[in-house]
Amino acid sequence: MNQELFEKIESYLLNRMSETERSEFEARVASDASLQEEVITLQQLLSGIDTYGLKKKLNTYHIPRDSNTTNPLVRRRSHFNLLRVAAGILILFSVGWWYFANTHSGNTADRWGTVFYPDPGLPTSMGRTDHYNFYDAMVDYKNDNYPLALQKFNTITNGIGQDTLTYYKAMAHLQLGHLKEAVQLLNKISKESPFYGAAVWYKTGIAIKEGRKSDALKLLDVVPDTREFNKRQARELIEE
Amino acid sequence: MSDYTDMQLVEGFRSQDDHVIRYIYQKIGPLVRNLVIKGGGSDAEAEDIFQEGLVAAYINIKNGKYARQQAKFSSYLIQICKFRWFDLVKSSHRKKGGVMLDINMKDKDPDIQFALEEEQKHEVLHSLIDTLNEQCKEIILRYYWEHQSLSEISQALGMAPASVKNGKYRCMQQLKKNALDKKHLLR
Repeated sequence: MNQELFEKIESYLLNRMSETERSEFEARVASDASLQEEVITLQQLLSGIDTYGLKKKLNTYHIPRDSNTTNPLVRRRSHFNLLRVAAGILILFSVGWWYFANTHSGNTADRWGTVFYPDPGLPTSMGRTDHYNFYDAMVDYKNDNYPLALQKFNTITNGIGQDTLTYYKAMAHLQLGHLKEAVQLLNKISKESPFYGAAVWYKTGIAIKEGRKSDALKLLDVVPDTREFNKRQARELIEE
Repeated sequence: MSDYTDMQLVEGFRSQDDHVIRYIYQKIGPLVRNLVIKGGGSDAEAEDIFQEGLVAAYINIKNGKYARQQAKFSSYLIQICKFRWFDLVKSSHRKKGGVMLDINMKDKDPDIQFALEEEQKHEVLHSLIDTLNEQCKEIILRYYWEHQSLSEISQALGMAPASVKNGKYRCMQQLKKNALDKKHLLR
């Protein structure tokens, strides 16, 4: 393979082609089996280089030493009673808190905000230059400066996954009370996306807010059962 | 140490964020070590299993397979490590000194199987990258992993930008040739 073709495939795989270049290239790949093979091979190599780097990084971390894990039985027995007491207190506290929270909760609007609390945003690490603009906007998002975050999100065209960007644009709109814009953006997130569960969760919240009860119930059925999504409380909100 | 939501963990790990990786080692690492040690393994084996499990999970996050299932990231990672450990025990015919894992092979998700097989192929690729000369390794890691520009690399390595560009091409051709020689291990 000559250098020109190599660099072409490379820029395809690194997402550096314009729309037109990309569709032209894809049409070429579709009709040329040997080119297809080259693309797949280079893709494999690049993903191998990526995990090589990841592993290099992982080598600098170690599972923290904890005597608990090297000799679990001995340690566990001596702390067993203490643990039991601690667990008891914890259970009493959490049951009490749950009771308090459920009987003394404020009005529905406050509770909506508690159940559908704002997405806290992504950890902002500035190390990776390709994501710089995105994380810069994320800092504003996390500081509750949603208008500025949105303005910055809107200028980003590459360097971060499209779904990630769409999702956080939607979150900024939601925090600003732009429900329609938020729903439009959340609808763009496909089922395959890691953001899909959260997108449906906030769409449920918006449907509740807009009083669309049956929509909300249908959406809630699709929300995955994980810790972040308090489906029981959402159901209570719908039924109120 | 602040807590992350599941999505933050996954996205942070996808972008190889140092804080997130440290968090994963501190919160999930001990659970995996416990599992390996109870199964009669050593600390070093626990570290290896955890690292291989992380790379396998990373592969499935990147290719979108992780998103298809609805497990929490920690459960997913532990599940992957469990199967990896099970495979290792099975293949090494070691004496079963420890507690047998309560593992049902029917639960082995095909996507997890895929990730573990891919991880093994990546290890082959890693050994091929290791055979490249130091300058090649520097160039390709800086360019493809650290996403440095050609001019940044040329400054760091004291080379002309054109040499970096040509060097990158040559190194990748070398790597490709090495990979094609090991094709049987990569398919």
